[in-house]
Amino acid sequence: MAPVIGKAKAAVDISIAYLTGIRHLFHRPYTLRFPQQRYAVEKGYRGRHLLHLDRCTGCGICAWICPEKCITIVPRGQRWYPQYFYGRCCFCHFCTDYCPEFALEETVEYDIAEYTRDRLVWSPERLSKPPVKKDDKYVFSVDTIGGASQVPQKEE
Amino acid sequence: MSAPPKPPPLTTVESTETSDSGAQTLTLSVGPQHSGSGHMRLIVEVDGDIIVNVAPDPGYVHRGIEKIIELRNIIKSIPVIERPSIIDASNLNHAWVRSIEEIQGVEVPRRGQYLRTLLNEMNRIMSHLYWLSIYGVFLGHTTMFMWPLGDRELFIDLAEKLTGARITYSYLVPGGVRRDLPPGFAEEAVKRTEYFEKRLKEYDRIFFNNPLFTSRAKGIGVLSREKAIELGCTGPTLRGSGVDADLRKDEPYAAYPELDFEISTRPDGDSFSRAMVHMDEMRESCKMIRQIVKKIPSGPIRRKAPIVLPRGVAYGRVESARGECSFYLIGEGGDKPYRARYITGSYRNMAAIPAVLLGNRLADMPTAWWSIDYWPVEADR
Ligand code: SF4
Ligand code: SF4
Repeated sequence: MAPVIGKAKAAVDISIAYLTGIRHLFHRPYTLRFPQQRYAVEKGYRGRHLLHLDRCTGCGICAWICPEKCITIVPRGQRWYPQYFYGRCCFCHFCTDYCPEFALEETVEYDIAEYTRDRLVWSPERLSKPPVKKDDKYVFSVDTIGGASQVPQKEE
Repeated sequence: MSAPPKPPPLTTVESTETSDSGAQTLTLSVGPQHSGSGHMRLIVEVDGDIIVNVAPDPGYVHRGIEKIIELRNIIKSIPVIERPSIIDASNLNHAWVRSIEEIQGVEVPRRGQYLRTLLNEMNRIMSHLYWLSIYGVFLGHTTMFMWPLGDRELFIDLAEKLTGARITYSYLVPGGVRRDLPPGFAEEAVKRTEYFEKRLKEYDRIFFNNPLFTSRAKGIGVLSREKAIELGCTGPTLRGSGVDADLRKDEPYAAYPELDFEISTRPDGDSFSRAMVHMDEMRESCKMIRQIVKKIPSGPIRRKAPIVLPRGVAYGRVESARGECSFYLIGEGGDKPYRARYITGSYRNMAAIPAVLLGNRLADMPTAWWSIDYWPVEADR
């Protein structure tokens, strides 16, 4: 008798497993089609750096604290500024935290991949430009009916 | 110069020989190219399809992190320390800052302690979900591969709001944490943990109650209580063998003494028990996250800590997702440690690999092996 009960229970459990899976065919997908649909990160995201040239004194503390040694202090006329090599940066943002003049800032720009390695060297001038506005509008959202998925950001 | 030694043959079959009993055994190399072994190799000797001998061959992803730490400032070491297990970054980071604070004699403000615990528990869930998804794909269950990886996003996104980074946070620094809670975090955390608990019930229905899984996991890879203690196992592997040992209760640190949670243990010591310990821990972590955002005290998040390591010795340990992670640290007054011994949960659980595999069938290897949650990068450091 016991094997029959065991088999029946197994059949029920397998059916429940299948039904659970099938229910999710109607769930909104998690995946974003990246270059067309772009994920919007919030302010405070540790993306690429923004350098305020007017505040930077060229003290070199950022270059000293950088764990990956990706900052070089380069001369520009009478003054010195940091230059970044993003091929090595791990985006820990200790440089931002330790800058005594608050000359560095995190930005929400996260796609800074380049085709060549020399393009990954960001000069002080390039670092000082604010990030280009891109069409980042998808955010991650959880609601009770649709479940979790990436949805377009609500207009403020 | 003599000729270089001949490389081993390229096929996975290394030798066939007759053992003493007259039976034929065959030595197989599982790995190191991640054929379900992680970045390591298991040299498995089989008799028919029964595993008669296993020798783990780690070291393929050794990076010499202990030496790197000795050559760096204590702050600059933080990103490196997270690297062995980026899916469990904040727990490893916590062990490091705890040992530094012990030498420096710095006390972390209460709010800082709560924020540390919050990120630790989120990280534990993320790490267990990653483990679960790999477990699913090892057993050929593609849905269980997709779902946990998708649901990890719930917590990755939450951690991104808190720390600004998605996986490697470098959030814990000596003296406290780097950022405070963003506005609206508490409601979001409650919503997501409640949603995630519902999802865990679905995981149970599709995987853990599924006979396709239970028949492959129950009674497979048994590690008895005595053997687990003798081998010095830790974390979910130890608790899956019925030992009630968890640093969060045994030696409470950060905000754990003030939280209400339970340590999950299972007596059987088989693959199923270890899997269920992981599931229970995720549920407990969800509860803890909700308690933390409710109870978090106000006040400073960070106290000023020197950037140098005074002369002294410390042993800082925490319960990471894969077991006890500890640092033995010797400072000699400079900004670098004289010596830092780094021991992770996977490193200690490596001893359990032969114990759970011996005597099982080769086809049961993925079930038994991955239930230990051995992370080669973390073990090799
Ligand atoms: S960015 Fe800040 S830390 Fe770096 S050189 Fe300029 S002032 Fe100094
Ligand atoms: S974010 Fe970290 S790795 Fe990158 S430049 Fe700053 S300190 Fe260096």
